[in-house]
Amino acid sequence: MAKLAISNSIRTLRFQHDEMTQQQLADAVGVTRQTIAAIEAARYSPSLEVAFKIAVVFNQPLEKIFQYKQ
Amino acid sequence: MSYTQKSRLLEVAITFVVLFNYLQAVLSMTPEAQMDPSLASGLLIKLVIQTVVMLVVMHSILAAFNSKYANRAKDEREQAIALKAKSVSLFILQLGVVNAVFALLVNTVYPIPMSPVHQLVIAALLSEIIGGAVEVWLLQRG
Repeated sequence: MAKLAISNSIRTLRFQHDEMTQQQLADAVGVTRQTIAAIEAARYSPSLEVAFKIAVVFNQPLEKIFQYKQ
Repeated sequence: MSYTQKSRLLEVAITFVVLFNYLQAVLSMTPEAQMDPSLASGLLIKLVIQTVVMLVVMHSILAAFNSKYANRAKDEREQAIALKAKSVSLFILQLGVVNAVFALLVNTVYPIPMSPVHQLVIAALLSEIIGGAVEVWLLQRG
């Protein structure tokens, strides 16, 4: 499947947060582990709500987590 | 494999078994018996009861082994995938309905030697199987 124009640094941030697992992040955000895996691999663009929840978990601004490549 | 994936896979398998049993019953009938409304309704009632019982039993077993996720609603990605799969499923059902209506209009059972009512039921079951398979595949692909 083609990657989306929106990339992210979730994988890096997870490791910087005590090697947080995908399942832990998924539980904190309220989605499945498979959805986190799809977001990380840039195969799925999350809704604004989920994107903000991820930003809250990592205590980072949204643009530090998600980047748009034209 | 997520709980939604397991659950959909189970539903596809059950629908496949129900379709197989239904096809076996219909194809063993004579063309006259196929057109008999009482026999058709009896078969439909059997199909509904069989499906409901199998779904309840299998979902209970699945939920017992996955109690953490059993009551959780689908997340946004799963909902989007379910919507895509539903559109595929509805397209198959539309084809089945058009085929059955055409068979009724021309008063013949061409191209499938089966009464339109049974064609309609089979189309409904097939649409469910194909929709479910597409959903499982999309969930697996990510």
